[in-house]
Amino acid sequence: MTGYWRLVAISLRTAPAQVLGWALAVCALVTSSASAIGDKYAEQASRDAYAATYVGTQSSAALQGRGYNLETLGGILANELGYLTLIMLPLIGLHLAIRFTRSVEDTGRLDILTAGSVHRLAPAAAGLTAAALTAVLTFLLSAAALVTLDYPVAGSLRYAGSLAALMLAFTGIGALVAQCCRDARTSYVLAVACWMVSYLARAVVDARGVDLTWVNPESWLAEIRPFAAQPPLWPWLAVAATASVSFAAAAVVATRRDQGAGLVPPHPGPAAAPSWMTKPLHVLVRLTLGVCLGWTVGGSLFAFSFGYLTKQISVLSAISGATRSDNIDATVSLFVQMNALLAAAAAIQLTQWLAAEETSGRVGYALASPVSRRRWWGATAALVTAWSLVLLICMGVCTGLGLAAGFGDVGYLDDGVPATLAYTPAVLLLAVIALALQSVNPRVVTVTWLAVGWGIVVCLRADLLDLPEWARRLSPVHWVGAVPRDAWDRPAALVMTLLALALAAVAVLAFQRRDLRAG
Amino acid sequence: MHAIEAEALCKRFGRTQALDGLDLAVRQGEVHGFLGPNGAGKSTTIRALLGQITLDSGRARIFGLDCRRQSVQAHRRLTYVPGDVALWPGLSGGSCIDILGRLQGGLDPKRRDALVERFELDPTKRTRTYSKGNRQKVALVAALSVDADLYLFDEPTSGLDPLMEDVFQQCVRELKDAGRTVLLSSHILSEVEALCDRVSIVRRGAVVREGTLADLRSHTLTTVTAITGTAIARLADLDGIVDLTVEQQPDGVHTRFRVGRAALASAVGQVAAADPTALTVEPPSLDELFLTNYRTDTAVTEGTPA
Ligand SMILES: Nc1ncnc2c1ncn2[C@@H]1O[C@H](COP(=O)(O)OP(=O)(O)OP(=O)(O)O)[C@@H](O)[C@H]1O
Ligand SMILES: [Mg+2]
Repeated sequence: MTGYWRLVAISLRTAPAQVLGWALAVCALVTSSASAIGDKYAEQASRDAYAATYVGTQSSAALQGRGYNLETLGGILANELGYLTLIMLPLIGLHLAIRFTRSVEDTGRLDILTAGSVHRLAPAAAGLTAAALTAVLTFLLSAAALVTLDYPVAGSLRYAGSLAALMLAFTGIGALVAQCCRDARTSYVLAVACWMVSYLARAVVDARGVDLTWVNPESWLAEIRPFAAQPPLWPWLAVAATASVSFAAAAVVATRRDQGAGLVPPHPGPAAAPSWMTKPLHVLVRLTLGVCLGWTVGGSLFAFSFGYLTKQISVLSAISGATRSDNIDATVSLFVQMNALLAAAAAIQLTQWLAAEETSGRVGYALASPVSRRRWWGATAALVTAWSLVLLICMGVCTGLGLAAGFGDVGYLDDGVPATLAYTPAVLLLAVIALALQSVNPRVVTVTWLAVGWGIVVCLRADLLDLPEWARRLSPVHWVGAVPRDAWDRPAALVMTLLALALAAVAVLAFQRRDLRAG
Repeated sequence: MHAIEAEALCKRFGRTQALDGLDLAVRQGEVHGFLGPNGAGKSTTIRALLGQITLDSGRARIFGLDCRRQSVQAHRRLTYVPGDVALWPGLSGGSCIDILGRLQGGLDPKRRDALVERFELDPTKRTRTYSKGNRQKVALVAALSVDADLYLFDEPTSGLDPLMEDVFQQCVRELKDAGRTVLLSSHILSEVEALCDRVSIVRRGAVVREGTLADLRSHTLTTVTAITGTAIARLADLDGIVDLTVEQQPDGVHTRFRVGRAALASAVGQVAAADPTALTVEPPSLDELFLTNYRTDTAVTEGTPA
């Protein structure tokens, strides 16, 4: 393929942080968990006790996947990390695939590159090579870390390999999605939808103990059984098949479609704007309608599924002695915290979109009209906060619906909304942090994802990692307390709301004072 | 009160001094050309006028309104075509025109439709699928549909075909007849010559020349060629004559020189006295005029250039 190596070099040079950063993040997670588990389950007896709590039940598998070989350290590690790896790895894979292909194409850089002596498929192939390199690095770094921590060598290699394999399978899916959609934005929406379907399907399959693990890439991570005496071969073949089929399909689509376009040619639109679109807020609503509806549907589905699975999941802790309703409450608080983090993620993504409006020059263009910066900022903030509230309410309702459906008891219907809405101040605070960063510099909004990522770690894995209280406190969601198990922490909610308001005020001032980018 | 008054604008981006004491005055009702080589600071000036960037120093006012502090009031009276037209992907061109017009405070639908017709624009296409020229037309239609006092155009015709260029020039003439003010940044010299009352030439963030085209011409050299029977006497002694060449050819002595405005009359007098069989006096071409002013190695001096 002419030009392939040159383009690989360009991809790596333009985004080394992406390639290395994600691999390091996964490796850091694996290392910290592996060492924590190594300390906690140093005795065989404690491992057997751990394994015993899982016998005969797959209830928590909805969140962490199925656990195998739980009497070994490696098995416990894989099982405990399932909470995060099943979310992180696919999303990283999808993100990198889009980031290195479609996003580059969107900038128009490809038009210049392909005008040179470069094979038609070389840019996409080179971008995907860079993306796949992250999977390779993840494998190497994690394997090295595990072996250093005295985990069995073969098992460590297989486990690190399984992480890379899951990432790679989703890189393939992301590559296909990126080729089919008309731009990076739609690609991200579709890709996240694909992941969510896969994740929820696995959750249902695992929680219900259905024998359908072979259909879904998300299930294969556990099915590789890295620490088994005789691990099966088929999951590896399944990953290889998925990756090669999707890469091949992506290549076919790439040769069929026009550069800069999607699979479906755009159809003509209206000759005039609808008459309701007269104010900045209306325009922003129109621009973000698609992605917001996507989040609402996805979030609702997520909330419903976990509400529905609560019955099975809370059985697990019941075995270990607590009263039943306590367990249900503990499980529900986990899920409503996840609802809150999803809403915050939606707010951040929306803010990123609006930041991209500025870097593309469109905000500068629109603000040549008699619209003050403060009004524009107000419209942006209103849009972001309103959508995250709508999302929270929808997810709260769906959690309630799911609980009622799962327990077969309509009494649970109104459990979701109050618990979810208790986290509103935390969501607001995260949204305002994203907006404030955007107001200072539209390019740094990405940093807020760290807060959400950390929120997920604290929410799902704080106890395992033995995180100190101050580290947990870095996640605003943690400030509220575990509603409905604990009472709502009113002072914390008040402080967060005030903090959000203060930050918003500073952000408006910053936005009014700084230079607008481009345009 | 001028439409635009900018005094000693300075703006630094990192290591680039984008504006370095730029002065600009645009009178009401005139079409003002804003010229200069790439990276001279034209777009930066326009962005400063729009209040998009904070100036390090200097003061910019539009109709007496401060460009930064009173930007909203100022923007009520102006409309803008950016140098890099970025439209909302996924929307149709017609929607973009309406959105921009309504943010501006309402556009005249009749005028909009007439302009869409004149510029032969298909408003139903998605913005991603427009060609460069068509994207430019969307921005032009959006700006021209608005009834403003001041029109800020940053390379408005880049990418337009000659027919559309002509339509644009007609539109600007109509604006001028209606007493509107236009600031036109452009690299198309014929357009500037056809439309502009006065021009400002920017180089390295400062205006190096400013005035009517005739003024600018008077600072440059006129080329004179003549064929005479005998060599013209005392020509070389005259002040302000440059590039003098004299050649003996079968049909006579070919003399060619360039001369500044001050010495033009006496030089032509000398030539006439030698009884020429052919005489041409060419005013400096526009290209030449600009090239002299654009080149960074040319010393910028008032009066006769050396
Ligand atoms: N946001 C920015 N950051 C850094 N440098 C900038 C920025 N905007 C402009 N510049 C620099 O300022 C200088 C003036 O740029 P400007 O866009 O005003 O030029 P211009 O006269 O419009 O040129 P052209 O004819 O090419 O459009 C250039 O050197 C440019 O690189
Ligand atoms: Mg420019």
